Amino acid sequence: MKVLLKNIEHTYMKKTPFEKKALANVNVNFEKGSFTAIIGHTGSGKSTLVQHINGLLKPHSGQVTVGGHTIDAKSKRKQIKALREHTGMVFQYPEHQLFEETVEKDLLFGPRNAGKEEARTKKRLPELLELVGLDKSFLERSPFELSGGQMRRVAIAGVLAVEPKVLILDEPTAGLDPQGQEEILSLFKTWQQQYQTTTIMITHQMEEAARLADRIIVMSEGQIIMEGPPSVIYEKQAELQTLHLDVPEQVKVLKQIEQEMGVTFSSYHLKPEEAAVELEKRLQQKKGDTDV
Amino acid sequence: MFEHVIIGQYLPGRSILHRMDARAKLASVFFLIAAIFLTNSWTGYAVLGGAAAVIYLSSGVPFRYIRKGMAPIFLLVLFTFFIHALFTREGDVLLSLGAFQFYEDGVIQGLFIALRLLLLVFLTSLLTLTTSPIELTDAMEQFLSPLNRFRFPAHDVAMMMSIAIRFIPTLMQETEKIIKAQTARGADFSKGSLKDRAQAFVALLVPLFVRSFKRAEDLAYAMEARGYNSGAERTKLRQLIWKTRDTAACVLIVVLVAALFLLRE
Repeated sequence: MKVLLKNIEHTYMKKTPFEKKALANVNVNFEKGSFTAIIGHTGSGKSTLVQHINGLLKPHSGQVTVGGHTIDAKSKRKQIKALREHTGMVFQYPEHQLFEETVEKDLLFGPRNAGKEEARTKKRLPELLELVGLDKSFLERSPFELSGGQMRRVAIAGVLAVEPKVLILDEPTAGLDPQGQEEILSLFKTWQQQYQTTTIMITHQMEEAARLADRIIVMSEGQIIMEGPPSVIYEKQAELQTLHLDVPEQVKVLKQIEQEMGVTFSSYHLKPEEAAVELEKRLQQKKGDTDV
Repeated sequence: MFEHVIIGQYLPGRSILHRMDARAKLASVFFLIAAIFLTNSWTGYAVLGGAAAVIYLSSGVPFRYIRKGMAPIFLLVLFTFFIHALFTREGDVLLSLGAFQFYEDGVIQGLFIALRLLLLVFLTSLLTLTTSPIELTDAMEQFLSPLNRFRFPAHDVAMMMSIAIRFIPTLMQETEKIIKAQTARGADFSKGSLKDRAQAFVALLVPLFVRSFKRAEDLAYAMEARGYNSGAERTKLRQLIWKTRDTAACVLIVVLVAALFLLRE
């Protein structure tokens, strides 16, 4: 589903001494099936922005369109609910949202609220658990006796169970060990490719953004500062540094090699082995060019 | 969702009332409350009302905060007024509506009670609006400390209060976060059948309790790891400083209360 945000403004604690403008005139589109990463500092408005996409927050002015549903400042609960059924949201530390006696019941909470057919959903649960790296024996267990990482996987499965057309991820890997982060991220990538889900991920880590996203949005002080494919964003290293963001180590290394050896890589996301092979090829080409 | 709730009802500011020592404010409010209940004449209430207005003007608090604080008790005030007005059958009949008769004394008594309640809430809201919760507990701890002699754990009580107050914002953030997470999963907290809503509240309360116990445990471990011991002598980061103006304010209040006592009929 396509997501359009038009002239979005949002102010917290309006008309109190704590008033704070969180979003100022934000315009952005997310194409169907795309994977976008939003990066920016704490308080830059990333979370506020994505909470507009599933109607948790209403814009104070401007419009949010998800598929055929549009909401603005005057939208009623019913319209918002219709929009919400298509968007799933994985919050930071999603394991805090578990509450049922068994994993199965918790997984069924979302689909039941969305009015999905229970029998069909139930049949799909083992497959869903497998996708998040757990087996079906977990269905009967209490979510509170699982380890932190397992709880997180269950919570993520609970969001995916609704089969959202738009998936919003708010730092889904915070607090996980590197291997756990890797697994969770590739799970989202697989899901996005398999179901053509429009995926929007908030992250602090450039590495994450670089590897998964086909577009990066950089936010600062409630506004979108930069927008574009990862390779374009990395060109603006100096600008990123003024925002206290940095390009990934891997990109820095490849760029350095490019500069010193006078070659160009096809992509900045090559694995070390791939990069080495490519480098060798380019060097040989270069040699061939000068020989002739 | 909770963005309009002012935590602990404290409104930061730099007014005279904000800068007064919390102990002086607490003592003043205590004396004024005593005065409110002792007063039984119109002149007395006029003087009290005037004093309340002067205190309010020195606080720099916008009136809508006071109004918001007083709104919940407004029904109670109306209710007590009518109870007194209807059931005190003394003096002349002022008005009779079918089976109901309003007697003069009853109406006067009802008005007095209503005024007392309004003044009480007015003054206490001003106290909490201009004093941070931490200052307030410090002040209370000092007032309660003489009771240590009778084995009353003044410090522990104050510690419990500060911890409770400290975690109000955390708990509210947590509540908001879980409400949002469950709302995103399709739970509806304000509409739908009773059963649906009950289900939504279970989805909120269970995680909230689980997290609170976890946090309490973490906090207890952290305190013990740093050698917290309730009997130890402890210094404070923020000292309460008693200034001349605090003495002046207290003297003024005591004089006022004494004068009100003399105005009693």
